[in-house]
Amino acid sequence: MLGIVAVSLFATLFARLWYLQMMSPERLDQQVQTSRIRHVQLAPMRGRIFDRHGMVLADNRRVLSVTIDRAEIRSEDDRTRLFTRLSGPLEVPVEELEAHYTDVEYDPYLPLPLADDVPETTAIYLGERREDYPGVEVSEGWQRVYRFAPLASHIVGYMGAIPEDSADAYRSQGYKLNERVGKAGVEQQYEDQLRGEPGQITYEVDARNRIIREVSRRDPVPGNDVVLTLDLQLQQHAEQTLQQGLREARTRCPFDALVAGCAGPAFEAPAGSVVVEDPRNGQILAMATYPTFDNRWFVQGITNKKINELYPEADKQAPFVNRAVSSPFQMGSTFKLVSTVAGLQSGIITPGSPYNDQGRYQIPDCDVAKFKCIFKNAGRARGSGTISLATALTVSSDTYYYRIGAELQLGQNPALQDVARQFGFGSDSGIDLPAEISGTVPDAELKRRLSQRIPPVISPDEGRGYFVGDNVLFAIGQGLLSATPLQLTNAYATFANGGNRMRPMVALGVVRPGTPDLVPGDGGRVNPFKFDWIEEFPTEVKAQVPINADWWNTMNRGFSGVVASRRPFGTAVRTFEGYNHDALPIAGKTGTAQDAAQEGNKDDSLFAAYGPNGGPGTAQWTVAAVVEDAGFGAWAAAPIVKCMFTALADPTRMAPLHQSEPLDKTATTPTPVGAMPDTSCMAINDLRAQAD
Amino acid sequence: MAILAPAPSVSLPRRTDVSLRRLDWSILLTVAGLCGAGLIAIYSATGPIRRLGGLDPYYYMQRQALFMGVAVIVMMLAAVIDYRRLREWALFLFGVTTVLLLTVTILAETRSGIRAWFVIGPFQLQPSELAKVTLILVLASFVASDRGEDLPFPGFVRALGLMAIPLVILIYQPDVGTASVFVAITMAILLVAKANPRHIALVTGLALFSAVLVISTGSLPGYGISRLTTFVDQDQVATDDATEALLLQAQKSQEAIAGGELTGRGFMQGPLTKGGYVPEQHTDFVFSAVGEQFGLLGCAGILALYAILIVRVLRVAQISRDHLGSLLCCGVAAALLWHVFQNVGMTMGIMPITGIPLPFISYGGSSTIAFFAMIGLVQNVYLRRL
Repeated sequence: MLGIVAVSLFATLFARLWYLQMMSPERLDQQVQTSRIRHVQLAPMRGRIFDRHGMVLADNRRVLSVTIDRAEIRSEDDRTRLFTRLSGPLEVPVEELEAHYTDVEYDPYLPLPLADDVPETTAIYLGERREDYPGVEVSEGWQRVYRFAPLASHIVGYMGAIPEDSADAYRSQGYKLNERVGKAGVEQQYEDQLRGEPGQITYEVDARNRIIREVSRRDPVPGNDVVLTLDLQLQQHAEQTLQQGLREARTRCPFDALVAGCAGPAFEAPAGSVVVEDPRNGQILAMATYPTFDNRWFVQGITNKKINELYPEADKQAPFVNRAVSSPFQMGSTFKLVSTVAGLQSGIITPGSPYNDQGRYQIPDCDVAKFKCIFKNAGRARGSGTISLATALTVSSDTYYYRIGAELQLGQNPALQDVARQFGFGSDSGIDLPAEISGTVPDAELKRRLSQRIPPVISPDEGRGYFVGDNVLFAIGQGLLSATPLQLTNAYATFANGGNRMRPMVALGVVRPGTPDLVPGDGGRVNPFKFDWIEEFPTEVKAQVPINADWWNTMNRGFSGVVASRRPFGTAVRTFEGYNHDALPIAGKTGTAQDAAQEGNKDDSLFAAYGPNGGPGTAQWTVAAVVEDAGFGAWAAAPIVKCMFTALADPTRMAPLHQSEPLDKTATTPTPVGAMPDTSCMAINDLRAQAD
Repeated sequence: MAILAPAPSVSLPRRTDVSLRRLDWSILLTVAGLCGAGLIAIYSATGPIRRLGGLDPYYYMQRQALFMGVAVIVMMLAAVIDYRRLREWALFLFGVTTVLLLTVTILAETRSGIRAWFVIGPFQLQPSELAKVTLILVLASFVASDRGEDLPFPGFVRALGLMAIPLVILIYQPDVGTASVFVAITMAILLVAKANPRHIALVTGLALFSAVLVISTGSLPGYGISRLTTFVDQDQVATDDATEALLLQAQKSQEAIAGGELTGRGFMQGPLTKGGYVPEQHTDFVFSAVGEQFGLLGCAGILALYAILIVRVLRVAQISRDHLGSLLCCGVAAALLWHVFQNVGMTMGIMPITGIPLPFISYGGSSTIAFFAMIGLVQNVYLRRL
């Protein structure tokens, strides 16, 4: 009896054994081998970004994120089961986890990210139940904290996912596709320094995901910190001043309408830029652009919907463009700096030679039937009479420069183009920021290129050649000349220091990580005296412009007159009434770039200045402002520059710095930069007296 | 005591020839073979992992060898004292193990979901293993009849009553696996004692009914239920952590055995065994280590050894000089058979995951001693054959 039972039971066992070992279809070798080793990525701490005084612009916050080994969720059953059980602790719906699984953005060779920035308690919960959550890892990562955002967002930049089209390039540099990389500004420019080196721990684990031992460990190497040339307080002042200047510009209307009691439309003044550079070394102390953005939106990714909500009317890309380096403008009369030097270098003018400004200029031997031969002053139609070089600059006489442009071209002398290039027009300034444009210097080659472009920028007829008329317009900064606000600033800095065109820089250098906080625990500022420099970037002279002392002094007298001379009447004298010339004597030049459509309210307003103006090389600051669609240079750009110099002369006029409040995720307008404490520097006495 | 009084002691013949020559060497050799296989399997299932962890890789193997040494002494004791004299001690020994079982169930800490172990210094004692031996002893003692008559109904009820005491305690632990062993032993002994088949059928029916009742009303603690249902529905979605762990255990065990194929992956070459993927692989799931490393041939060899062992034990039952001896051997054979079937079946996914060891192979002191004691009893009977 027992024997029968025994035989049948043994037969059953043997049958099952046979089935399992001889007939079982699946050999699970692969899975067994791969699931025995677990890699855990250790994210390096990204380098911080400081201003020149140690203000912490970009910092890091430790975040915990949850990932899962893809091998554990290959089968749908496993995936559903795990996702269902993870959904609760992670507080993420199962559908969202599934969406992560199907998202191609994540590197298929890496553990799948499930949730970012989970609370410590969740991490502990999952850590204690490793056996119940096979393949689930909690990894420590870092998230960017922009402590003073939105200040300097364009310069600091932001980070984002590796774009698909450059995935291979990043991968070849050892990036994992799930890493975030610098996408703009310094974050992009100094990615190599900031990134550091990721580490990795390799564990051997058993079937229940319990760690048996650590196989190997490579600690992450934190990235290097980058110190900027920016003075954050000045940067804040620049951003506040720019926005205040734009607001005031929008209350004004064009000169013609003004005379009739402001009948026409007011200026829109939608955008602008102001740059402060140290002309002695090219360091950028402040660089503000409007419209601006808050780079904290990019920390966790911003949706197009949110962008539309924040910037309903603007071109979607516009807020993120750093106009100071990436947008071309006509230079208007500010370009007379270059024309003057070209005239002097070519000998067409001398510092003392007089010129009779009759309000109009006719090109000699010009076929009136075929060409535009007569050019008028934009401002003073009746002319200024017999004027010297200095006066020509002070009153911004156009005819004075028409003559220079015409005579150079008639003599086939490319001095205007050459000197423009010496001052840095038409080529990258070399600033350490991405997406810089080089602008254009008009010549025959440029005209040919523009006419051949599809669609053509100028007509093929126009593109036939470079004529005297082209050079006449070029001499007053109109026509096909285009340049960035930074190029304008750098050109005046070049003049201010006596002719050395410096390479503008936003970074002073790179320091080892770990500079201590100035106020322990505050996190807002590190001690700049404790910087452990790896590299201090050297000052670099990109080109030299021959300017002799006589020329310099004469031109400086002219530029000084622009802001200070009442006889002859400087173009920006009204604007600079109230400015303390004794505290910080400056010299500058207005510019009004006329829109091709000749609509009065589309003129761009420009102003560039330097100070103190005691002689070549004495200037500590060069400031230039460009405001789109805002009228005369003296109206919109000059007040901004004036307010910058006011603050440079007396830093107590600037608002104090405060670390930002947390980003309001529900905001529907861009984060405000705060108001300048004293707007009196913006005041203009008599608009009607202004002309350029 | 009067009711349970055993049959009057018979005068024992003075057969004192218990020399080694009279032992059943085929049983001993078979057991030795299984023990050797056990040491190898235990080492392969624990050594690599412990070495990775910087621990002594021979730890479990050495302890098991130590247990076997102790067990051999127990076996000799169980063989030497005449089993007919042991009959007088049966009730006392059964009482002792029952009290231990009750104590451990009340006092011990829960481990692997049940309260079954006393911790004595570096060792653990599992009274339920020892209770198997005393149950065989006491049941055989109570139902044995030298007059060859069928088991009367009162005797049948008394036997069931005896079994019921540890059974209830075990279910309370809850250790359903060991409880099933007790049932198997009792059924076998009652069958061989010629209990009325209708009575057996009635009791079996009642038992099944109450089992269904207990499970469906959920009065059994959850861990026990999931152990029982895991093998039924291995594709079920785990609703609690314990069930998921069991599912994983069953799955990994089958993967390991399946991976062995005909000849196995070779000693210390099984990835699942080497990597420690099958939980409890040195104890209850030791068969999966054999399956992965030694394949169908190795597994069949192990099963063959068990078959030889059981056949030999049943043969001893046949040639026993008395009914008591036969019943003892049949009880032992039933215990071995059920352990092997239940344990091996569990590792291959055709039986529920109940924590009962594979005789002589699984790591564990209490069970090794218990099985050696059973073999001692069989030798005892064999020595005193006619």
